[in-house]
Amino acid sequence: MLEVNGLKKHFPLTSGLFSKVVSHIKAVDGVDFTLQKGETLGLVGESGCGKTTVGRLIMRLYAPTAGDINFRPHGEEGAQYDLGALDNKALRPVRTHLQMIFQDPYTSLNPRKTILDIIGEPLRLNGMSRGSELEDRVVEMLRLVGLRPEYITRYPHAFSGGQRQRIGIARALILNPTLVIADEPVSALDVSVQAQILNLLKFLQRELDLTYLFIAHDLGVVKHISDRVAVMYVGKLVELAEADDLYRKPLHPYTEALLSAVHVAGPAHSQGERIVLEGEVADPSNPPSGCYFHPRCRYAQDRCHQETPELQNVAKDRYVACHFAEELDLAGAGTT
Amino acid sequence: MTVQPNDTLLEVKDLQTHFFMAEGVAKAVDSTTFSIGRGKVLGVVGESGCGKSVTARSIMRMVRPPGHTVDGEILYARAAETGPTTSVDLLQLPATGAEMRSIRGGEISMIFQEPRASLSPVHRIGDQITENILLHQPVSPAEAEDIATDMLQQVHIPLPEQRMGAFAHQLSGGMCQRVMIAMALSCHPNLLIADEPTTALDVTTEAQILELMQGLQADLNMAIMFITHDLGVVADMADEVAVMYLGKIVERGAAADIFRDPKHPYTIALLESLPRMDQKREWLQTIRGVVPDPYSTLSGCPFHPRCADFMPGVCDEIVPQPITLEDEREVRCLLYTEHATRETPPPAEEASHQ
Repeated sequence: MLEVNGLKKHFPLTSGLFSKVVSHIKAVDGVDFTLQKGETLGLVGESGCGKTTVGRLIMRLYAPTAGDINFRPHGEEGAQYDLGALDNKALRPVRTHLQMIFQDPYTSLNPRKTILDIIGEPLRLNGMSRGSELEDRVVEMLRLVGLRPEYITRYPHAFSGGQRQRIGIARALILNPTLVIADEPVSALDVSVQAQILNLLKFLQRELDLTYLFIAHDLGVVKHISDRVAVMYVGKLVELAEADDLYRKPLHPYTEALLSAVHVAGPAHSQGERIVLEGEVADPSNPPSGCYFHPRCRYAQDRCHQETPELQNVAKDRYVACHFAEELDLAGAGTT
Repeated sequence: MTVQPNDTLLEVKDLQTHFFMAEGVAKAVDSTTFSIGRGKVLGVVGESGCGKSVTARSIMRMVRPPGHTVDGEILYARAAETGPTTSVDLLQLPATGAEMRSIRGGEISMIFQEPRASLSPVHRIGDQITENILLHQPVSPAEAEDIATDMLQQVHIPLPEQRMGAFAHQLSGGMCQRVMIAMALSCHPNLLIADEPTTALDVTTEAQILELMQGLQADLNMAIMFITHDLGVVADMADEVAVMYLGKIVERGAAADIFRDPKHPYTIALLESLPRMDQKREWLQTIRGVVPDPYSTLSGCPFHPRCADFMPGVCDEIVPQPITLEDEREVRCLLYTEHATRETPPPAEEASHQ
């Protein structure tokens, strides 16, 4: 349904009086993946690794520097769009199939608009319905996301964080999209509310046959919701696999370190040794030579300093970018 | 509690901090009682708005109007230079008086959630740390600078001499939090209050900071009050855990016991609602309803409208008092009292999260 090939986004770094371009921040530097209809792909990584930029490139909030984004919306037989090549006018009809749910439910809703205006706006903008028909659709969406129809005339300040996130979800889904990009949708919420929203997203996926690109940094949340998981480090994918396989047996040392850093809220520590990564995420405007992860990798060898590993298919549905993926025996998160 | 009385560093008794707002009185902290032993880690967990941070600020005497600490005692065992340890009630001291100022930042210090927002953007890192040292220790400015550099070294900041001259915006979030820790620890506090110290950080940076805190805690024999909403971090860091809901501690006990066998329905529900990497579940358990607004006055147990083990006619009428179970667990729940309408309290076994 979605095929991303060699996607790149470089932001120019300028300096001086005439804003001379001195270098580029390689926020996304050659990312390839596909999304099947109805699946959830989790995208994880530390802040600054480029995961949000990938989401925004697919939404075409940014124009990619290079690469194609081939998208086949459902409901249009045989239609295929290269999102990267379309201009704003051509994008407009396609955009109804792509929707986004944002991280912060407090800043992503206009405080001066009622819930009817907020949720109904996509319909109105696309000229799809108005008046009482629009109101009926909004009421239907409110019911679907578990809010009471009476709330329709209220303003965002009257709602809690969890309710606001439900409003954001209703707004994203009212156009019946094919692909929903959820950028950290639950990281601003308390655990009990987080559980409600995760359940809602799963329920809606089944009801409406949605495909999710789920961007998050919480590995427990990602495991729960995702069918497949992609791990990003400094603008590149380092590993992509089925969620269960990735958590049970990671192939990239970075994935192993991420998994070991998660604290499990349980009495017995099923997990083994905690790997504390030294240093910080590499600077995307001046990445290290060879494998970007080598300065922090405890398995790094000479080859890692010189050669940049490519993302390779090492087993069925398993992709990893590490020279020694097949030799290393890495520890996963305990699965019972 | 497992702490011997003479080992208790801080004892909070019946603390009440209320906010007097136009809408009514918000009881942010409502008769909270706990203690922290010397060199121990107490984890305080709960959802937003449950009163964790206000409890911390009450201890530091940093509650600002419209908030007031209206009742309670905060007994701090203050070691004198010579002679025996004396017990001081922090609430009896003037909040801006000399004695409280020498305790705050010196003997009890605090680190905050937003490291960058807590550092001054216009002062150099070194000056900010040195200022605290000069306030609390009888040293010369040059000596204070040496101590500050040494602290930066201890929190694993590379090139500490150069970083002394840096500004907060030149450092990453993890680095800023290390600077905050260096500042908080520069006077060797007896108690460190850490209010969500790693919430704004990535998991890998969080792991670095927690490892650092554990190392320093052992070296300095410092007690930590660790406030967080992350149950996983608490399971790893804390000796004891206190679970708060609407300004009250609903369950308190040894961390290992609480995670193995939670007693209060709220604790059970919190643990059940977490997506876990080591389990496969189709749907997550949720707690019905939302945290009620702080001005509401609920009859009986404040958790009863959301409780899975609600007993009609009991929980909505009787206010539960803390009771002590086996393994020195303290629970505020009527299921464990003679008011229980069932034969045996079932929740722990029934909803075991393993």
